[in-house]
Amino acid sequence: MIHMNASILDGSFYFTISLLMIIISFIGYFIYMFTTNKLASTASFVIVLAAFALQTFAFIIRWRYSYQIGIYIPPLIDLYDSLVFFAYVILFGFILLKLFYNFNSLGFIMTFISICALGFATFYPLSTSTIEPYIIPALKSYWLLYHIISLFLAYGAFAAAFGIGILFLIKYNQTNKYNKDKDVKQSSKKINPIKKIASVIFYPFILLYKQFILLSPSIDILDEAIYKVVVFGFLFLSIGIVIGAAWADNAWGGYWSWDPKETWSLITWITYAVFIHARLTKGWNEKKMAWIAVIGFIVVICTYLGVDLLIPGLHSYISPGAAPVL
Amino acid sequence: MLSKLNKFFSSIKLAIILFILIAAVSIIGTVIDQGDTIAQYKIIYGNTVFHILYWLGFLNIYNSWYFVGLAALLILTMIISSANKLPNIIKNIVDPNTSFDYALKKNSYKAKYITMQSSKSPSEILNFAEKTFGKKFGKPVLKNIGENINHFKSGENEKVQKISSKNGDASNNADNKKNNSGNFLFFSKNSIFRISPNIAHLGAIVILAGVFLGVTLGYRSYTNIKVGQTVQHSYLLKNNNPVLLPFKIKLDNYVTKYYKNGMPKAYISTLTIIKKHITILTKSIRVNHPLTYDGITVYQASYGHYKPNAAQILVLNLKNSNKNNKRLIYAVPGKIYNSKINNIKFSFNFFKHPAKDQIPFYISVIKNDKTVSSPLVFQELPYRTKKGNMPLFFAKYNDNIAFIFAGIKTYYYSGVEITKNVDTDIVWIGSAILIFALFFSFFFNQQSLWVRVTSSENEKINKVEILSVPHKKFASFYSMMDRLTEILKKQIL
Repeated sequence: MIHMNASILDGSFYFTISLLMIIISFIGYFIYMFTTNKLASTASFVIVLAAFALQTFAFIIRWRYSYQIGIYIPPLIDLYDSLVFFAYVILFGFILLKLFYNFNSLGFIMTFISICALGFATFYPLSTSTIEPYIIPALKSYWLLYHIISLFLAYGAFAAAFGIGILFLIKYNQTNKYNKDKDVKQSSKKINPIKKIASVIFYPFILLYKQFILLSPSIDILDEAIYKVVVFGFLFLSIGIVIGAAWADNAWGGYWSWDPKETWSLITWITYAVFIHARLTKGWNEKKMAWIAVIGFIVVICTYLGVDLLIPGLHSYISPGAAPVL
Repeated sequence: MLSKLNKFFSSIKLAIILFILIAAVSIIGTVIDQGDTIAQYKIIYGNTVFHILYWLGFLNIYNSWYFVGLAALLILTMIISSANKLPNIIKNIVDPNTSFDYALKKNSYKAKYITMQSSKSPSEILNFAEKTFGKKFGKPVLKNIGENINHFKSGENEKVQKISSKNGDASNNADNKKNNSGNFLFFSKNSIFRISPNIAHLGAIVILAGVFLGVTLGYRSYTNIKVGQTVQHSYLLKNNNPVLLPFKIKLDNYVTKYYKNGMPKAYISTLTIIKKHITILTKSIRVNHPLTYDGITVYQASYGHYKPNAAQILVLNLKNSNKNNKRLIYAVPGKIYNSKINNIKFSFNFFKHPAKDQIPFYISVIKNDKTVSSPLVFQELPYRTKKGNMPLFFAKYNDNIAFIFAGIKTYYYSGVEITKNVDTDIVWIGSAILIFALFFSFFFNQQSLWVRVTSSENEKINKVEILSVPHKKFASFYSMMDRLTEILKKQIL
């Protein structure tokens, strides 16, 4: 039997409904990608807004429920909490980007990441939405909320940078290809016959795809957006790490213990520090920056999930037994 | 040689390489467990691999010479690159080079340069330009093609026009050479924040300096204290060497509080700090709530039993209330004890499968190494203990011997971490500097703008040049400039 988190009591039911809504909006954005139908993108965005509102409601329900059963901290403790919050932050980031930059073409990537996070939260057997009426003593701290919110704002920003980075690379390659094709035609070189046949067969798709590319913002705007989103994330990553260090100093007796999660957060910080410094280096073009934004998000995923699922440490979500005594 | 070294250490490429190397070394540290014992490593990796890893420093990588060296090099690059750039940045803030041609030449890769012609008078054009760009760029300064700076005030346009062209500098461009009558407005926004990346580096240097100081002067140590015990030593986490504390710590009490399902809710140790036989303070510590005294912090870290739990059994001779016929024994389940009352030996045990509502423990009486009675079952007494208000249970043997169960005695020790942090405040100050500087360096970007008006021979047509230089090549900046330029165009054409 498939495990699914869908309880009205703890609010997970509403998250599951929002997952369905986001899937619909993803399909809408996918249709938009190939047909450039404005109605599809507008409808998708409205659904995203509704899903975001529903998730906000679900968080209120969860928070209230955790207070009712005597846990006086926000529901941001276990793997389920963290994944739904991640999905929530990503939607929030997308809504902001859509409002500021009118990034319709980003929709299908952002909704996809959100679906992955929510889907994982809903169906992964070790991720349960049940809020237990007890928590380990180390988590009883007012640092928890600030630590997690600032880090997830950073994660969300890096996810957005990843999405825009991919969009940039598609657009950049397409622009380059276009220029190259023009060169080839001008020098009247022979075209591979298989390629020619393929291009005839897939002509309608290629045409639609090119339309989509034309609709997405220019590479200059994408480049600027990547930078702005990354520095926002970098700032909040720094804040989150410092808050975590202060908390660790209070709870564990040292602000830094080289716990795997701490170390990986440093690696993430370094990755984006490289991004910020590399911009100042001559000869590093926008394409390389987009690649760092894409790779950076893979490092974020390693820090966020990889470390918890693979290496036991002080931050493990799933196996409390693997954590230190207290 | 020195300048080559200087160039090498202040290059961003070196900084990026150091970043990547530090990240790579850190990854090794998360793949190979740090701080295990040699025996554990030998079991995991085998003897040969262990020796290789040990020789490479991979088993204590964050204290290895190369990791510390990389961090030190990073500090050096930050200091040298900041020292190189700082004078220039300060000069730019305090006394910026406002030359139009210099800016055009230096920032050609990111500057936006627009020219237009207008039949309006230079003062009118500059007035419109100030109004149009002032909203986004702030208050400008007015300069003539010489280097005199005059603060441009609205209503003083006539004065502006009168600024002499006698001071005209011959080094200006060809256009200006032709006609020496030209003024320009110089707008500079957020120039003070150009220093923020350097301050961010300062923050990072302060953090790292704090960390180095902490590693050399501070310590993290650990000790277990039994309830009632007083200690003055703890043991370093890194090598178990003892540390003499400047005061004594007594563990008055230890309690674990539980949720209904049996999961621990809180671990609470009550500690007393004693210095020179004087009790200084008594405080309960919990996770997230440590105790700090004299620069040393004591954290709740673990707990355990140094002896198994024992049942408190009072053995009584009911026929003789003599003092020697009453004895309290702490009985560990399953062990045989001599009550020294009528030579009776007994053991305290638990039923493997107690019936519903049955008291789950019993006494076996033993003589000559043989159990002589069937299990003595307990009954609850209508009395309770004075301490803790616990129920009392009673079992009888041969009408004259009574066993009273008065609760469970636990032998706890509390594991506390004792640290001396000389560096934490420095690290927090560095962190605050870093975060504030990052904020200002990311969100307060310098933008400069020049609007130059040069008159042609008969002053009927003036040439207007607009040069804008963003901090970074941002599409939004260029589109904003396009928008503002359009507005100006409409006003002056």
